[in-house]
This record gives sequence, C-alpha cells and structure tokens, in this order.
Amino acid sequence: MSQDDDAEANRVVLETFSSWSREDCRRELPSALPRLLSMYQHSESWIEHIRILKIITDKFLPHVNHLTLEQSVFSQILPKTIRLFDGMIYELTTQATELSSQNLEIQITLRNILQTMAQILGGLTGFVHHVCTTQESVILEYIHSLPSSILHIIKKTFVHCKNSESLYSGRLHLLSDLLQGLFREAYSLQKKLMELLDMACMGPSVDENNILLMVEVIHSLLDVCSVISGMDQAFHANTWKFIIKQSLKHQSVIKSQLKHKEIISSLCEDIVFSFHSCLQLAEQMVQPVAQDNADYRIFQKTLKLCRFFANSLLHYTKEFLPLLSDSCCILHQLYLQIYSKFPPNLCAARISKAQQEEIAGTFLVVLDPLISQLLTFQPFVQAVLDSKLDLPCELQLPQVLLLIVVADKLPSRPKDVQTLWCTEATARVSLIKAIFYSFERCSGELSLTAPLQGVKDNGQAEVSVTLYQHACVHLCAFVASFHPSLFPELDAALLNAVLSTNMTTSLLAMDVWCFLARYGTAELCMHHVTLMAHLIKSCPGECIQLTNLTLLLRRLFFFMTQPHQVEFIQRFSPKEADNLPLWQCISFQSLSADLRKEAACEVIKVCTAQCIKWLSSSHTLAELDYLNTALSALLTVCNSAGDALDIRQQTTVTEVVSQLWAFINIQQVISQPYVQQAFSLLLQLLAFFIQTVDPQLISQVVTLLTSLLKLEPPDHVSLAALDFISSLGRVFIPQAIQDKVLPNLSCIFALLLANKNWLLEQHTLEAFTQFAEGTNHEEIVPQCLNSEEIKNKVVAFLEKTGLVDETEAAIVDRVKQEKGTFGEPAAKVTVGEANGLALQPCTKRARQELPFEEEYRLAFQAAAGALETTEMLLQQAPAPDWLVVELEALQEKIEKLKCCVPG
Amino acid sequence: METSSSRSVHLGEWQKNYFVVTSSTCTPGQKADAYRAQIQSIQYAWANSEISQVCATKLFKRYTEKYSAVIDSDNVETSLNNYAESVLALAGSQQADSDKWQSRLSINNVFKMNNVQEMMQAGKKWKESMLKPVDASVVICKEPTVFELSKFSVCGGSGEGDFLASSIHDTDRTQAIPGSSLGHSQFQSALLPVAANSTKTCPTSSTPSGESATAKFHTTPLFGSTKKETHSFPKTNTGPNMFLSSLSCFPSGCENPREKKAFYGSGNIDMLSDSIPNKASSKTEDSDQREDNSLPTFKTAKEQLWADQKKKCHQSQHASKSSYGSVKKSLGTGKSRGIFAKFVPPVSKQDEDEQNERVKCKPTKAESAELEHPIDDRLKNVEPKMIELIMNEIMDHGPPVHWDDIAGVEFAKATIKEIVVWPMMRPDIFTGLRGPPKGILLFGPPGTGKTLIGKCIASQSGATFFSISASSLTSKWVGEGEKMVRALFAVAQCQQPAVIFIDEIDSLLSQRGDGEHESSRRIKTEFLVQLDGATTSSEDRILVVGATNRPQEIDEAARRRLVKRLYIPLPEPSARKQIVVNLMSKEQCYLSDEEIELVVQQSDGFSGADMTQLCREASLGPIRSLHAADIATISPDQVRPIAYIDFENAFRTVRPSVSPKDLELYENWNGMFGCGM
Repeated sequence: MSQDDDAEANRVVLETFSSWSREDCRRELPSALPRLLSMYQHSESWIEHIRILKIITDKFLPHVNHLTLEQSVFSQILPKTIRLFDGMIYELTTQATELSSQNLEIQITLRNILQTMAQILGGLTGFVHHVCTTQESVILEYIHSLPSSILHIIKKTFVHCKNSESLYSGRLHLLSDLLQGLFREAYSLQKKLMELLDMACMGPSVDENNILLMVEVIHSLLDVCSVISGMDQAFHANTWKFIIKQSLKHQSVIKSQLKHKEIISSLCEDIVFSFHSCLQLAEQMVQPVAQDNADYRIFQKTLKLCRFFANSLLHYTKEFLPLLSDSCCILHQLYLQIYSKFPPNLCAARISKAQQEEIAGTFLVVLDPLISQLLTFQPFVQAVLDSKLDLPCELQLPQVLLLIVVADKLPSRPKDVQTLWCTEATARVSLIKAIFYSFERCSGELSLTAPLQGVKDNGQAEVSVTLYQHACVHLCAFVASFHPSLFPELDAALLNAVLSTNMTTSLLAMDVWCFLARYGTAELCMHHVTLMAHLIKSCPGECIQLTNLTLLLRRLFFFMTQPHQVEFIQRFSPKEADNLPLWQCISFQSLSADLRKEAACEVIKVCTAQCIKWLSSSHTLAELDYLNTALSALLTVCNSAGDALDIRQQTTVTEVVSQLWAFINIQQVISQPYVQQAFSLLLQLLAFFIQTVDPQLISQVVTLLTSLLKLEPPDHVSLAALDFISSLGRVFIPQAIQDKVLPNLSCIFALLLANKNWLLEQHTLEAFTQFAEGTNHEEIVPQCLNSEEIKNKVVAFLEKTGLVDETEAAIVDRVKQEKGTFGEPAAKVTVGEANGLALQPCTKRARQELPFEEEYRLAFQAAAGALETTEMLLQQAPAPDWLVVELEALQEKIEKLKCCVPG
Repeated sequence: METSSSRSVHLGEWQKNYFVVTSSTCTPGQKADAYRAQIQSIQYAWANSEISQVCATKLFKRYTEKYSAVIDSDNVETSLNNYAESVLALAGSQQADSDKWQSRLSINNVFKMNNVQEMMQAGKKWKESMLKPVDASVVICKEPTVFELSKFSVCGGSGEGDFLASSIHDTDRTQAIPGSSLGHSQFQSALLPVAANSTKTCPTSSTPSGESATAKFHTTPLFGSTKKETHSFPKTNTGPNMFLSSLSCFPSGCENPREKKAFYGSGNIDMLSDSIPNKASSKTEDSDQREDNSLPTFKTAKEQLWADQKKKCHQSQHASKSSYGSVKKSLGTGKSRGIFAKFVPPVSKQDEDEQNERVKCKPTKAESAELEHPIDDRLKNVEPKMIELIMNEIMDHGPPVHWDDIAGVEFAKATIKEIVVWPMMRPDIFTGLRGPPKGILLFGPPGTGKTLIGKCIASQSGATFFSISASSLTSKWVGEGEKMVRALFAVAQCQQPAVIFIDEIDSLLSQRGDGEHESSRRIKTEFLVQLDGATTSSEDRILVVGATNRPQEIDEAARRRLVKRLYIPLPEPSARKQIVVNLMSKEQCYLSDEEIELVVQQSDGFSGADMTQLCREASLGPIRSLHAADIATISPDQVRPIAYIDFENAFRTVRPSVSPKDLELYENWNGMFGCGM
C-alpha cells in the first residue's frame, strides 16, 4: 500500500514540477534537482523514469551550470539509465520467444518496453542537445560519463535491431514499426552525439583524462561501426567518416593511445565486405541491362562506398604510418584479397568488361597511392617479402601484381628504399626473388590469356597483354633502372630463377636476362656468359636446369661483341673435347662468318675424332657418354652452321655417322637410355644429310624404324624418328629400294599417327605434312592414312579445322583443374633433390641405403640365376662328382648367413 | 589418367597456337604468346607424366629456340626486340646506370648457390639413372644390322679399294687445290682427280643440293664398308691401325693445307695459277661468295682489293684527298660495304627456320640489296612512293668535303671524329661504352659551318647521307609527315651506316606547346620515337645530326635524345684568316700578310658566312673600279687584282650578322646544355 502511496505522491510532485515556470525552476533548482534525482534512483516505474528524465531535460538542465553538469546530473542519472536500459533489453530477449500473434499480453509488454526505450533515447538526445546548444566548445571532462553511456546504449540498441530478425523470427511484423522507431531514435542520438564530439576541444594543453575519454569514444564508435555495417550504408559510412575525422583532428594528442590495428583491420574488413557485395551485384548484372536500372544504381552506390572506405584508409595510413607496424600484414592481405577477386585471377568473379573497368577506375585506383605510401615503411616490406609467407594459391597472382606495382614505383624512390626492397635480410627475400617465386605459382593464370593493361607507348593505343608479357615488360623496366650497388642481388636472383624447374619461370628470367644483356655493358655480358659456361661444363649430367642454362647461354651469345666471342673461343677452345658440352649449345649463327667457319671446323674435327676414338674403343655403354656429347655438338654445327661446312667436312660427318649406325641394335635402343640418346642423335644427323646419305642406308634405317616403332620405344626416340622421316620428303628414293622403303614408310606414319600421346600425334602431323608437301612419291601419301579416323584427323589439320572450341568459362574451369598438376612435378623434383643435397646427415644415410639394397638384390639375382643354370645343366647332362659336396657347402653358408641377419 | 576429351582439348589448343606461329599475318607479339602457350603445354604434359623428361627437355629446347628468335632479334617485322619499346617507355624517365653494373657472381661463389647445387645433384642423378653400374660394360654390338651391311660391302670393294683411296688421297694433298673438296674427289671411282675436275664442281659445292650432291656421294658407302671390314677383325693387331690410318686422312686433310700455308708461300700460288686463274677470274662472283671457303694461300684480285681498302680505312685521316674520294665512292655502292658489314656483331641474326637461315647466311648479299626493289622486309610496310622520295633526299652527289675545308672549330671537329666518323668506320672497336651516340646537335650562330660539318661527316664516315630539311618533313606532304619520318628511319636502317642530317631542326622539334598544329605535333612525336628506336638497337648504325641556330627552342625531350650538343662558335681570328687566305687563293689577289692581319682584326664578330660575303664584296671591288663601258670589252686578265682597299670598302657594306646579344644567348645555352669546352 505504501508503495502505491509513494507512487501517488511522486506523481503529484512531478506534476507540480512540470507546471513550474522557467523562473520557478531556476529559483528552486538547488532543492528540486536533488529531489528529482533521488526519485529517479529509487523509482521502480519506467513511466516515472521517463517523466523525470523529461522534466530534468526540459525544466532544470538549462539552469544547471555547465561546469557542474557532470557532477550534479549526469553522474547521478546515467548509471541508473544504463541499468534500466540493459534491463529492458534483457526483458525483450527473454520474452521474445513467447511472442505470438495470439498472446496479446506479451505483445503489449514488448511494445511498452520498446516504446520506453525509444523514450529513453529521446531523453538522452535532449541531454546532448542541451550541451550542444549551450556550449561553444565542449570539454569532455565536464561531461565525461555522457558520451560513453550514450554509446553503450546506442550500441545495445543497434545490436538489438540487428538481431531482431532472428530474435522475433516470424513475429517481427508485430513490432517492426516500433523497432524502426527505436532505430531512428538511436540514429538521431548518435548523430547528435557526433555533433557534440565535433565540438570537443582537445588542445595540446588538455589533460590526460580528456585524451583518454576521446580515445574511448573513438573505440566505442568503432564497435558501433562493426554493428551497423550491414544495416545502413550511409550511416555506416558517416560513422567511419567521423572516426577518421576525429582521429586525424586530435592526432597529435591521441595517436599513442589509439588501437590502430583494430581500426585498420575493421576498416579493411569493411572494404572487403563492400567490395564483395559490389562484385556480387556486378555478377548478377552480367546479362546486359540498361544503365539506369535500380540494380545498376545500387552497384554504383556500393562502389562509391568502397572508394570512400579506401580513401579513408588512405588518409588514416598516411597520418599514422609510423604507428602501423603491426597493421602491415592486414594491409598487405587487403590488397591481395581484393585483387584475388578481380580478373585475371582464376577465382575472379565473372563480371562484364565495362563493370571491370568501372571498378578498376573508381575503386582500385585508390589502392595504388596506398602502396606508394607504404613503400618506404620497413614493416610493410617485411610483411610483403616475408620468407615464410605461405600464400594460398589464389593469392599468388595478386602478390605478383603487387610486387610489380612496387617494382614500378621503386626507381623513383631514394636509394635506401630501393635497398630495403631489393636486398635480403633475416626472414625476408628480395623483391625480384619474390616475384619469381609467386610467378611460378601462377601457372593457371599464365595459361589463360589474362588481359592486363599494356604499357602506353608514345601516342600508341593501350592494348591488353598477357600476364607473362606484363611481368616481363615491367621487370625489364625495373631492371633498366637498377642501381649499380644493388646489381649483385639482381643477377643472383635471375640465375636462381633461370635454374627453376618451371619452364615458364625460367623463360621469364631468361627474357629479362637478355634485356639486361642488351642494356648493360658488353663486359657484363661476357662475364655472365663465362660463368654460365663454367656451370654448364661442370654439371655432371642433363637436367632441366642445365637445359635452361644452355638456352640462356645460347641467347646471350648473340649479344656478345666479336672481340668477346673471340676471347670466349680462346678460353673454351672448341679444339678440346672437354669443351664440347658448351659447343653443343651455342648457335654458330651468333658468330661472324669467319669465326663461324673456324669454330665449326674445329668442332667437327674434334667431334669426328671422338667418334673415331669410340669406334676403335671397346664399345661399352659407359663410353657412349662422350660419343653422345660429340654427336650432339656435331648436330649443333650442322643445324646452325650447315652451310659453313665444305664438302669434305660433310663427307667426314656422314661417313662417321653411317659407321656408327652399324652399331645400333633394337634391343639396346629399347632398354638403354644412352643408346636411345645416340640413336636419336644419329637419326637427326642422318636427317640433316639426307640428300647425301646412301640409299641403302636409308632403306636400312627405315626398316629398323619400322620394327622399332612396333615395340613402342620411348617418346623422345619417336620424336627423333619423326625428324628423320619428315626429311625423307626431300629426297627421291631410287627405284631399287622403293619396294622396300615406301611400304615401310607408310607403316611408320600410320603407326605414329595413331599414337596415343597427343604431343607426339601433333608432331607426327607436322612431320607428315612436311613430308607430303615435299615428296615425289605422292602415291604413298594415301597409303599412310589407312583408317578413316586418321584421314579425318590429317585433313582437319591441313584445313585448320576441327579445333575444339571451348567457352571462356570452360577454359577457366579446365585450367583450375589442371592447376593442381602443375604444382606437383616441381615439388617432386625439389623434394627429390633436397634429399640428394648432402647437407643433412639423415638424408645422406637414407641415400646410402638404396645402393646397398640394390647390390643385395643384384647379388641374389646372380645367385638365383646360377642355381637355375645348374638345374638346367642337370636336366641335360649327368652331374659331376663334386656337385653334391659343393651344394652342401653352399647350404652351410646359407645357414650361416641366416644367422647374421638380425631379427 | 587422361580422358579423350582433355586430350583433344590440348591438341586443339596446341594446333591453334601452331597456326599462329606458322601464319604470316600474326604479329610477333602473338607468336611469342603462342610459343609460350606451347611451352606451357609441354610443361603440363610433363607434369602429367604424358611425356618423359628427355622428351620434355627436347621439346622445350626446340620451342624456346624458336621463341627466342622472336624475342631477341631487333627486326621490327618479325620480332619484339626484347620488348625494348615498352620497357623504355616505362623506364624512360629514369636515369640509367647500366654502365656501372658489376656482377658479384664469380666462379667461386656461384657453385655455393642452392639452385646450382640442386642442378649438380639433378645432373648427377640423371647420369646415374642413365646407366646402371652393371650395364656399364655392356658392349654395343651390331647384331642384326651386320647382315644387311655386308650385303653391299661385297658389291663395293675390298682392301684394294682402301689402298687405292689412300694413295689417291696423298696425291690430292700435295696438290692442295683451293676450294676443291677432298671428300668427293677422292672417291670419284678410280680415276685420278685432276685439278680441272675438282674446280669445276667448286662453285656448286657451297650448297649441298640436288642430284649433283647425291651423285658425288654415291660411292661413300664403298669407303665405309671397307672400313667396317677392317673393323670386324678387331683382334688382329693390324686391324685397328689400318683403320686409324685410313681415317686419319680426313682430319689431316682438313688441316694440312692450312699448316703448310706459310711453307708454300707465293710459289704455291704461282703453281696454282696454271690450273685455276682463268676460271677464277671469269667467275669472280662465285669465288666472292665462297671467299670463306677458299684456302688462305690463294688470294683473288678482289680479296686483294678489299684488303687494300681496309688498310686505307685504318689510316683514314692521313689519307690523301683522292683516296678519300675513291673510298667514299666505293662505300656508296653496296658491295664494298661488305667489309664493314663483317665487323657488325651479328646480334640480330637468329636462325628462325631453315629457309631463313639460308638467306641470312649470305650477309654480304642481303645487305647490299639495292633499294629500288624494296625486298628488305623492314621496308615492307612503307609506301614505295615515300621510299622513293626519301631516296631522293640522299645526298650522294656533290664534291666531297674535308675536315680541312672547315676552318677553325677544332674542338667540334675532334669531337665529331672521335664519336662519329671513327665508330662508323670501325664499329668493331667502338662497342659497348665506346658505342657512338645516336644523335648530335650542332648549334651556333648562323653561317658558322654547321651544314658544312654535316656534309663532312657524311663524306668522311662513308655513310649514306640523308640531308633532310625540316621543312620537307613538315610541309611537303601534309598529313603524311609522320609516315615520312618513319620511312626515313626505315630506309636509313636498310642503308646502314647512315647519317641523317636535319638542318634547322628547331622547326621540327620546337617545344611542344598548346598552340601548335596537331600534325606537327604528331611528326615530332614520331620523330622522337624513332630517335629512341634507333637508340635501342645498339648495333644499328644510324646517326642523326641536327643543326640549329635556335637551340633554346628545342624540346627538352629532343634535347635529351641528341646526346652530344656541340657549339659551333664564330670563327676565331686564325680561322678567319684561313677563310680569307683560302678564298683569296682562288682569285687574283695581292694582299700582304700585314694586310690580311688587318682584315682579320677588323672582321671580329664576323661569322664564316659573313667572311665569305666580305671576300665576295671585296672581289667585286676591282670590277667596280672599271668603267661601265669597258665591261663588255675587257679581257679577264686585265682586271686588276684584289687589293686591301677593296676590303676596306667592303667593310663599309658588310656588317656582322650576329649580334653580341645573340652570341651571349648561345654561350649561355652552351654553358647549360652544351658538350663543348
């Protein structure tokens, strides 16, 4: 009962207060306000609270001295208000589950709560409004509990609104009007608060507490931001704008207290989020639509938002750069994330060209100055070039693009910045190395014709180019401006890349190197060539890396000056058989006429001498090694300096070749790699001299090839066979051997055209057309095409038809599938080699085990073989007397051995 | 593992690329992309275990070689010139320190690199995989093929043939006939090879083609089979020896004539002259082509001529007037440029395919190709009309100008000799850092001999000289100006070494401003691009010489490209004296040394042209002193000689054409941008 009385009494008091005039209030303030506050503290009724709030705001606040506002009003009211508000939210969430359209009671309760909440927000708006209107500039300390309390309430409100859909699920419509009202209230409250904070004064003399308050406000706003990100774009953007503005405004005093990493990361999150929604919108619009429809407008709006966020980020990083060391990874990831969703990346969204351009022109352009800013910042360098950076494969292309952008910008930067990027340090690789590393992992994008913007030549139209060309041109341009002091890093990195097991990477490095050779001095080129020559000479056997090196040497040789070529010839004289591995990879075309002739002469002399040496040797497989080198060098001379040879030299070579041919036998071609090599080389040499080769020998070779190809030799042998038979188109086959050669020839073509391997099939097609175009024996051409299928294939090839037309999407899907395959062999090879790398003791031991096991196996095979022979002999002839004794002795030995084996 | 559809997709893709690289209409850029795609396919096939590593390596080699021909060559039509255009457009603004690049890789440290070690390991592994230790001693035998061989070894001949061959060979060697091939003369059945016989085949022997070649080698296996016979008894001691000796005749055959070259001396030539000279002289052209093949003991008249010319060129600046004339003339024609062509590093030569190779292997021929038929593929895209117009601008006529004809400007002359004339003559020495600049600018007050220097460069360097006035590019063919510029450079490229002299270059390359006409802007841009293009291919020997008396109006981009900027000042007193003496020496004139000194003193501030004008004016003095009536009747030797008084009169009418203010302008500009002292 007394409660009711109290309530009644309070009501009367409140009514009295609200009827007071302005003057009354001013006069009665010292007594009335404490009373009101105490009522507020002790009241249990929400309605009463709201009324008290309203009276305080309307009647008494104007008369309170602004210096004592905090002490006399805010600190008294706000804590209780927060408690109240939290209580209401709690009520809402607990009762929401019971809400249904039938349960009117709960519905009314909930609606009441929501209304009260809106009223509280309204009251708080009054507070803020009062402070704003009465003060010129705000000292936060004098109102210190106001912003934090309001932000707490705002955040709770927004969270509730955001969750409302799941919270009220199907019954949302019963409350949606009020929820909207609530949101609007919170919205205008926050807007007012931001106005107020805008007026906050933070001079350099401001004391610590004030600063802390500001920082706290900014951090709370950050929380709010993350809540409203999906709710209202404009509001979200405005909040961010405010955060950035305030941070920059009070930069000098608050910079050390701000949580930069959080700000950056949530800003980045928002960028990525809106960028994704932008892409989604664009993707939905792929069907051609009018520019002015609603979808397109939303797309544009989202795009603008992206741009706004990116600009904000740009501003923020610009001002706080020195403090962002720990945010660099986030910024780096942001760049990668964004570009990974954009063409030419394989995972890119499929959006139309126009929209791609629009996105690039509006949004992506902002990322460029961002990189420019970060370029000089050491932690960013560390983040980008981290040696442990293990990027997933869809981020490899963005990484390459980023590094290329860096490379483009570096030349105009001071030397120390260049040094920072271009030298290795602990846990950091050099820029060039990183480019090649990531480039190698872009195989998928490389096999697409990924369109990138080409270089604007003077006055020429911009064209789109492939990723490879983009990388190559920009790398070369970077190389062109390389500072001499950093150069050692460059050629070491290039050499490293040339020695990659990935052909395209190696090719890129070679292309860059060739540019370097032309751009640098002749002496440098000479130095590089000499180095490579040493490497090639000391490499014990063939491997893909060696091939890469030889190809590069071949190309660089063209760029050498003549005096240097002379010097090279003196240093690596073709007269010495040791140097033949070099001369087998140099094109004699790169030498001037007289040098070419001289060198070719020397090489031929040495090579023929080597061949003759072999012919007079014991003809073991082991000795084939040097023979093959000599043959390969011979082939190089013929191919690149064929017309520098005189008749005598040609005769010598054909002579030796036909002698060597006599040693070929099919079984060994099938089983021995060295013989395969020799066989291929001999075939190619014969092909070169086909016009002077004896018809009998041709017939013999063709016969052998026919029987060999039926045994399915290794692919490279078939390839060499193709070289030979396509050259047969150039000669007339004499009557005497026609009967023998021609049927075999058509048999060979038919065999190879039906090859299961598509690469071989293609080369057969090429060889066949070459043969068919040149040959005099047209009659055998149709004989080669014995099946309808093969005939169609050849005809389609000649008519350039029958190509499979893949859609762009299909190509992307296929390339995605194939991408996995590309990674494997490279990894396999490196792992294999790492094992071989005799650095770690454990792997070394592992390697040693293999040969032992092999030896055991060989020994036992021999033993088993011997026993089998004995068995056979026993069947054919009577056993000698000693056999039984020996057998017993053997058995004893076997027993002993058994005991020696552990386990 | 591979489905048929993916197989056909790959095949289709490969073929698409194949059609690109074999097409004649695709750009080099497209071809490069196509080759790269093929290489990528090879990598994929290898990764997918569709082909073996050996096969992959082989194919990779094959296609990379073709690819590099597209990338590395500087031929605009067929290749990308290492992307130089785009790269330099990108890097253009940066200063290049490429001449200071120093590699720190060395033979010692390079082996420590991880990737290098990996390569060595991979190589070792490969070697191990190639040959199992047990197989190392497996003997390569000739089992089933032996049977076949023996069949025709029987019909060929036996040990007798071997003996015969080697004896023939001996006689052959002593004869040492140049150009003849021991190979085929040896085996011309049993006949002794007579000199006439072998020389007959000599011209055709350079290319192994057609029936003649097959005929020549018809007997080859005869020799081969005999050796195989000897070889099939390896157990006997004599076998291998015989075999070796019979074979050794090949290498020694190649070598001996050379070694004996000094030995034989001139006597040998005499001896030979009986058998060959008639044919040789009647077939000079053939021996020309085969010059490389002929033995060093024998020098044709042509060779001698070339050698002589070469000597002359080495001592160019000391040579007499008349010899210069002849050098210049012979240089103008295509043939003798051959000598120079030899020195050009063969950078651009790549073996694209066999066909091309054949053509390219005759550099002397290809380069001397006359331009009337623009077979050169660099000119393919240029209109014939323009080529003709440009060809008309070549200043091939007029008297040769000598350094001595230019008075004074010693510094400029020395500089030009050093950076222009010598490199043009000896590109083999002037390489790398010493490489010549691609553009020079001569500037100075009007009438100081800039044009004369341009002419002198042309006649002294032996280059094709294009004298283009800027106006002919800008006004004559409106709208086609930039095409003209392109044509000019294209033609110059085919006519290397070439000097392009552009008088009044300021009107072509004035600063790009807002008010200028669109077409002139385009011409300028094209010109700058071409200038850069000429710079990129370092082996191109094209020099652009610009002359101007308004250096300050030249666009800064153009200024950068004209690397050497030489100030041609007003003549010094000594130079003025030289001019007066030189000019007066051709007239009847009596001037004492003191009088000449006076003239020189009084003419301070005169340009070369002013001096000429002064002399011209003075030379009219005696005529003026005649009575008008006498002029019709007087004989030339009755006219009185020119005297000092005439000069005094002349000074009244001839004034220096360059004001001191202008001079100051030049000196300032020279101080800022000039290369002189």
